Amino acid sequence: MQIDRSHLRIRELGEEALAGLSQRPARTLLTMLGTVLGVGAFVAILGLTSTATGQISSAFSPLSATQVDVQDTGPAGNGQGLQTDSPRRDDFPEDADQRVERLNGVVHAGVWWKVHSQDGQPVSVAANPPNAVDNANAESGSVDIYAASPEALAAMRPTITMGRSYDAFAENRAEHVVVLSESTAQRLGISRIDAQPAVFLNGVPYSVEGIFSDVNRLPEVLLGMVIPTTTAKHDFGLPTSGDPAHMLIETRLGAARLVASQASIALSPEQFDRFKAIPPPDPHALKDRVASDLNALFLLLAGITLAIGAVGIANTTLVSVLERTGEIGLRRSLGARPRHIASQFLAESTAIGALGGLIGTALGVGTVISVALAKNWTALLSPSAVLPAPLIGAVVGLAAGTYPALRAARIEPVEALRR
Amino acid sequence: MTSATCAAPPVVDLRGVARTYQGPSPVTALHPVELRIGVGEHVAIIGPSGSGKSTLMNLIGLLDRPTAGTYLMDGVDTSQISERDRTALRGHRIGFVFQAFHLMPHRSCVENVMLAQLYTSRRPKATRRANAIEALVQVGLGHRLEAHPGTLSGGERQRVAIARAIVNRPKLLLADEPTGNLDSSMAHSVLDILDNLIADGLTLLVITHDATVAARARRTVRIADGRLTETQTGATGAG
Ligand SMILES: Nc1ncnc2c1ncn2[C@@H]1O[C@H](COP(=O)(O)OP(=O)(O)O)[C@@H](O)[C@H]1O
Ligand SMILES: [Mg+2]
Repeated sequence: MQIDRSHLRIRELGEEALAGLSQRPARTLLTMLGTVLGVGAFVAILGLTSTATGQISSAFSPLSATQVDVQDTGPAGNGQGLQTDSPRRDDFPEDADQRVERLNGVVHAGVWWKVHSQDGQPVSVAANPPNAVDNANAESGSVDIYAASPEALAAMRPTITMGRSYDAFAENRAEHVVVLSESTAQRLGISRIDAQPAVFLNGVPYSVEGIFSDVNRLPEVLLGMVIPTTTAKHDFGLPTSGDPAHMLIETRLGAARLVASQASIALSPEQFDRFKAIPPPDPHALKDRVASDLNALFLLLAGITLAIGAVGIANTTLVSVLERTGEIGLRRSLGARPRHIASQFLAESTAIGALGGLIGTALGVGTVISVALAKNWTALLSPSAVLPAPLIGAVVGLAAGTYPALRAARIEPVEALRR
Repeated sequence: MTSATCAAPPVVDLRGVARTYQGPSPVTALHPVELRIGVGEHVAIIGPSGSGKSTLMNLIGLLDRPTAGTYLMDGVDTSQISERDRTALRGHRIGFVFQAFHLMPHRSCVENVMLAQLYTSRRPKATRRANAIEALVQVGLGHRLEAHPGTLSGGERQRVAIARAIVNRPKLLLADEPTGNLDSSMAHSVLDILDNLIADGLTLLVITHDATVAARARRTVRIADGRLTETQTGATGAG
């Protein structure tokens, strides 16, 4: 037969669908609402989560992301270390600082520990000689003493408000020098250092080299004082097992994990599990954990909203099929095939979903940006979350329109045209 | 084969066509019918309500399939072709005018007429628009092209429907009670337009229960209880 078969161009299908939707703008908008809310929630949740976790990682990156802590896990228990039972030990090699500072990416690396006196009694701390009567050992035991190499002290990033910190020269010669925290200086009544004040530890005078008001790392030293490691060993002995020595490493940004993997080998090539280097937490791992906790719950809610939106679209499309039965009959009489009728209603429901998805995406992005602005955060929206969002709306609309469209296609033209 | 040299086949050729509606108590709405309508004929089918007029028109318009008999439309055996081809035949060769107009209320007259070309014409939109305007001018509505149906009188609305029915240049125009919703003066203007179309070579089948409408046709076929009886009447109209 030479009759040209019926057809419907995609562009004209779209025009018919938009014409159908614009006939009832209020209803179309209300129908969209579920999709708008669902897709909007989806985008807002993903955006807010990535924005918030972005703040978490940026909060710890500048300082802690450049810090590696090396712990002494003790000598191997195979009899090689004779001092296994000893409460005192010093497992870091003499040249520990230099070995680690040779590594690429290391800024400062130094050994430190908390000092305990040999007899187990608290170290007495005083601003005056022990036989002076007027200022008795009032501060005894309440001030912590830390041994730190000059490099460890540098890695703490102290804010020196008076004087200076001691140097490698003082460390090598085991000089009796001390750097005080501001609070300790106040408690000892030391307010200036130009008079070369001294602090008496168990009666031994230490000259005060400097006073620091703050440190970026090892905040525990803010309640105490710091002396060279060589001096500490001489006066108080090796570190105790209860407070073993650590190494503090400051690295360049991004080098911390690499340095951590190399430091233990550099310190103990023969037995590299002797020292345990702890890198900063992986920002990605943390971010992913926070994200997955939040997302699981809220994305479920967004999904439920979307499902409600789909039911709304399905319902409206079905009502519209029933209302427009006459139109369906007319189109069939004008040469439309059942598939043309179905595709028209499918196009309408898909357009509702896509438009709802688009509006929802805009609202979601707007929410993320305004929250970020209000909190002074940087809004972080990954394109992989934003770009497919309108598509999700379209898929919801397509799925929701399937049943009504099939119903519309099955309507007999004779039935449709009967008044 | 069906060229001008041979005698053209009838536009409608019903051979023993019948329609029974199935159900708990089957209704035979149309008993076996013999009806031949040639090219350019003007035929009225008249009968009381419930006599089977719409059933007959749905069969002739390929909107429904007979339960018995053979229907040759324009020489094509419609029982032998697929539903897809029946739909194409309907869109290209048959125009419908309904009692209820069936206009799209939110579209202008031109857009309503253009809808008839949506599924059948492969011409560009501008051409289809020009065809629609031409059809509207033909029914005397050249001045209301962009009007919406709601602003038109009943007679004007039916003229838009006629323009839509003829814009694809069909062979056969089927009008089911075209004046059923109109008062007599509007009915006259609509019937005048239908008469003019016959002069252009269109085949017209009007279904009515109104004797004055039937009187305009050359041929009148009476239908009662699903049975046809043909009476030759003296045509007064076109010619
Ligand atoms: N779909 C149907 N199912 C059952 N009976 C029908 C159906 N359509 C029409 N009829 C019956 O067939 C007869 C003819 O109907 P119809 O062709 O609509 O008459 P008219 O158009 O002349 O008023 C009537 O008795 C009607 O009740
Ligand atoms: Mg009827």
